[in-house]
Amino acid sequence: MALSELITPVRSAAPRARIPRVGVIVASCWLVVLAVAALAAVLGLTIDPLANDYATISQSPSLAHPFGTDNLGRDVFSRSLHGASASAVVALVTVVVGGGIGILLGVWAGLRRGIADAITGFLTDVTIALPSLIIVATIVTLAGPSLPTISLTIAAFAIPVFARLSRSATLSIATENHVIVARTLGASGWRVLTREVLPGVLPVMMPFVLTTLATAIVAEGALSFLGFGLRPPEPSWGGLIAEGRTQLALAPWVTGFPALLLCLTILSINVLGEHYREAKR
Amino acid sequence: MTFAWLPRAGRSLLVLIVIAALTCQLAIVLPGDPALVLLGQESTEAQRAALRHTLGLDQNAVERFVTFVGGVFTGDWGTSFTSGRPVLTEILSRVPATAELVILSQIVALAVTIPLALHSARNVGGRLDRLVSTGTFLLLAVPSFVVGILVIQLFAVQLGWLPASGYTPFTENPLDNLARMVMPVLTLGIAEGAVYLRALRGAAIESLRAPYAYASIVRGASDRQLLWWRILRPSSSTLLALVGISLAVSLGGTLLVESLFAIPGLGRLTVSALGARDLPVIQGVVLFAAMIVVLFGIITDIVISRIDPRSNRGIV
Repeated sequence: MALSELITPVRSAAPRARIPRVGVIVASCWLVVLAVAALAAVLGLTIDPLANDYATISQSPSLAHPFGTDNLGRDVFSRSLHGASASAVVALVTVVVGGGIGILLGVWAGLRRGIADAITGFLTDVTIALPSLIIVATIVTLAGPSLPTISLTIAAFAIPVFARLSRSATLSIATENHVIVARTLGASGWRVLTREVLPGVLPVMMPFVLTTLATAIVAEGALSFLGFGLRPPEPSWGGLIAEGRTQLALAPWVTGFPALLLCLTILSINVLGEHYREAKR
Repeated sequence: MTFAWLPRAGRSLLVLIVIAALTCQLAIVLPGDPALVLLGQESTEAQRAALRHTLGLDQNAVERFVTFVGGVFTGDWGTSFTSGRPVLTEILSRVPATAELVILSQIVALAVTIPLALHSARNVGGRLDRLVSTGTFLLLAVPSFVVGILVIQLFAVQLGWLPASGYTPFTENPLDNLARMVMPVLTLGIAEGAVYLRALRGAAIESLRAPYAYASIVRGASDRQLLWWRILRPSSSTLLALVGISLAVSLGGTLLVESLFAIPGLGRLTVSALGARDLPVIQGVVLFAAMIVVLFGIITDIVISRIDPRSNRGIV
């Protein structure tokens, strides 16, 4: 037995802290159920989230109002689900637009090097030096808060990180044999990009896509919480949490349920991301 | 390698110039006539013309940029619409509160997470490690504004130990100042600590697998000697990078915490300027924040290269 096997710098009781399989299943189920419920709410299957009902003000959770009602008698369940759909739009736009542009930029920089590399590098430097929350709040406030403005501004800030990560992924893939062979055989730049490089880059970006979903949801939440997001009475998670703060003593469910949905959603996304990272090792 | 940061400084200056160029064009984002949007329908044409002049909207983009950058260097950052005071004075008067909040939260976060991270790295899968790993994983899912609400509910409402919000300058009443800082510092520190803990734990596990860890144990080092004198330093570059980033972007985080706890710092200034569409102040804050990011980026690089010289040789 080697000496190094007798000494244990890392006293390991278990191989590694892992995400249990149940956790992954529960997290996936939660996201699917929430997505379906949010879709149902958008299609109008729940109570109108903006309807005031002065007969039911600040009621605690019941069968008619599973999450209770707020101080204007609005149904918190329906408002939370509409908030979920707003968060989902922001998160998806951020990943599709921000991720799409970022990955294309990164792959371009990684394959072309030279001037493309310099441009993306500098773009990344500038964006990272910008105080993102302040800029997003400024642009959204000045341009007028709407779901497209909010999503696209948050998406813009996702571009540089996607670009940087996909650039380094591209650099390592570009030296692999299949890419060199494809080039030698005279494949067009487009074919090399879509058939040889992107299929290698996209899986590497997967954990970061999940992280971005979570960051975008939190960013939208922070924005609405500060009052720079969707204008009330339009429901969003951050806005609901902020509205409920004035009623915490009387009706804690107004803040509690949206906050719980927000945290559970972020947790589920993190669980999936961690699971993906572990599976890749 | 003493001057290794010099080209970096040139690059940073270029970044700042580009940001200044973008910042002074901010008014363009406003739909329609910015002066009309800012002053409202009932303003007179003369008022609007005066505002266009102060914002530099009667100049073209290049002239506006030159005036703006010139003003930045001569200390004339413009005048706030709402308070009528110079923007630079306004910003500098808010720095102490924010700086106290940020520095205290970093100290608290580091003081709690470094020992926890080192000891859970030594006993991976042990009781402490499982608690720490699960705990930080859960905490990462809770946004700081939710943490803040929970902290207020617990300490101010349920237990009644601390005042819910407000700020007293340290020079006026040090004890009251610290008492009012506990909850904001906790709120910021929890979010930062969770990230630090996971990073340092991972790095320490790596370091513990290195030959010098074996050597240290063979020579009979105690756990404390091993962790604090052999493992902490080589494991700290990721942690330092994270601290640097979080100091650099601290303005974003304090936006939420200062609003929650009514602390008159830069975050509150930004929020109220945004609410009042006080364009000169917004521009000033953006530029100031960008300067901080760039400055801390450089400082972090220097500190990391001093603490972990391997980073200079591209080994790490």
